[in-house]
Amino acid sequence: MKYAIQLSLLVLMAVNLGCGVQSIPQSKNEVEASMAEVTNQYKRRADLIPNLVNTVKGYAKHESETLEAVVQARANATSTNIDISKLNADQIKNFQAAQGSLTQALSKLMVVVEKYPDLKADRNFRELQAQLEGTENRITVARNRYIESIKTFNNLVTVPPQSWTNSLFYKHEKLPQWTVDASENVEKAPDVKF
Amino acid sequence: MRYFLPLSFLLTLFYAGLSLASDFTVPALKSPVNDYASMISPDVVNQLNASLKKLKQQGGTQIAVLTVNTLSGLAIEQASIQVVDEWKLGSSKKDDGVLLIIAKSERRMRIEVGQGLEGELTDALSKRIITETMTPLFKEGNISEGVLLGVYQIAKATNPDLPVESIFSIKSHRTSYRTNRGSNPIGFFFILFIIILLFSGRGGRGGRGGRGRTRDALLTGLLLGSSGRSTGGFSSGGFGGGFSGGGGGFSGGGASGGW
Repeated sequence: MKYAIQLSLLVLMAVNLGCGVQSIPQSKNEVEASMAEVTNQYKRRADLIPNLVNTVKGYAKHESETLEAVVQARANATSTNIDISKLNADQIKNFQAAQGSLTQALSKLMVVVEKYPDLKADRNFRELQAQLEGTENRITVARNRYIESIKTFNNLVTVPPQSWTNSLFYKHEKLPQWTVDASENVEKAPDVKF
Repeated sequence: MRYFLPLSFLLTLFYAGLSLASDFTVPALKSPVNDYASMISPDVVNQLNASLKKLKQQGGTQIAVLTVNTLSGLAIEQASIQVVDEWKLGSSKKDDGVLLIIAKSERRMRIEVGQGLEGELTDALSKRIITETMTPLFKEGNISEGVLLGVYQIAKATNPDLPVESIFSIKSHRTSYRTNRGSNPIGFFFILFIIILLFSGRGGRGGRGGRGRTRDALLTGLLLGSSGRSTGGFSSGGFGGGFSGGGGGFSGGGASGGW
């Protein structure tokens, strides 16, 4: 009997557009797709690094410490994966921390590079730098879209009338939002000391 | 009641978000060249409008130019992605759109590359077009030529299978107008023709002096080096509805620069 009521309710709601029967799963898929894009772009950045490190090595032999930090951070970041189908706050936090320290290591490297005019004039290095800049921008865009998609999803599962559909059928929890924490704030402006 | 609090909280967040949002509003896509900051000479605007429309009609990529007076505090990357998210340049299947955005007061520019073109117009190539072609011309004050050559190189890179030279009415690929100055007698007569045309047609009009216009036409003529049809006969108002975006997606690829 209870099942029949639920079924009739479902039909009733399906007729009614904007009830969430469609939009909630769609929005969940959207969240997963945008998360995949975020990890994809981070991977793209990681793929650029070996080439970059080798190019810098050729000119800046005295910066092995900074280079080593980048290599380490990259290894750490590529081994910290995220399971898109089971997103949870801890996972996201670990992932963010690993990528954040790579961002930090990279921006340190880019400051150090300023001391080597020959390196900065190197065509290969300039191309890599442009690619890195482009990828950092792609990461920002992908992250913003991810944040947007989580917001849409959370609105659907918490704001009526769609949230009623959710509590009746899907029973999704609110998803943890991507927060920009301290480790990622560093990427904005590395300190330059004279 | 159970939902009242979260709802009111979310609404508060929503309105707070609205009031915090930047003043930058995405202008309308009117034609291929949207010169809101009046930085590009009318001749180049007409030339580019005609060429870029033709390029798209022949199955090429959709390239648009936007100049704005100010970014209202946004980074050019942020403004640019907002614009392409709204304009949706390129087709939804191929994601083959490119935006060249120029901010007048910030002196910044960016080439925003559609997802489908990131292989042809890489970040590195976009950066090269900006730093090696556009920035030097912009620094000299030749904004129009910088835009024309920049867009031409973008078109060339993204349409390897199309006769981009003839679409842009350029006889041979030139990287700088200077290399050809005075070396082309046909070009010289063409310029003379344009000057005569300009003085007879518009010379009597006051306001924005004829000298600047003539010089622009001169440079454009050298740049194009061929038939004058492309600079005349097209009005920027005549593109009603012919250049709307096709649903192309962008993911932040491209490069930025300044001058």
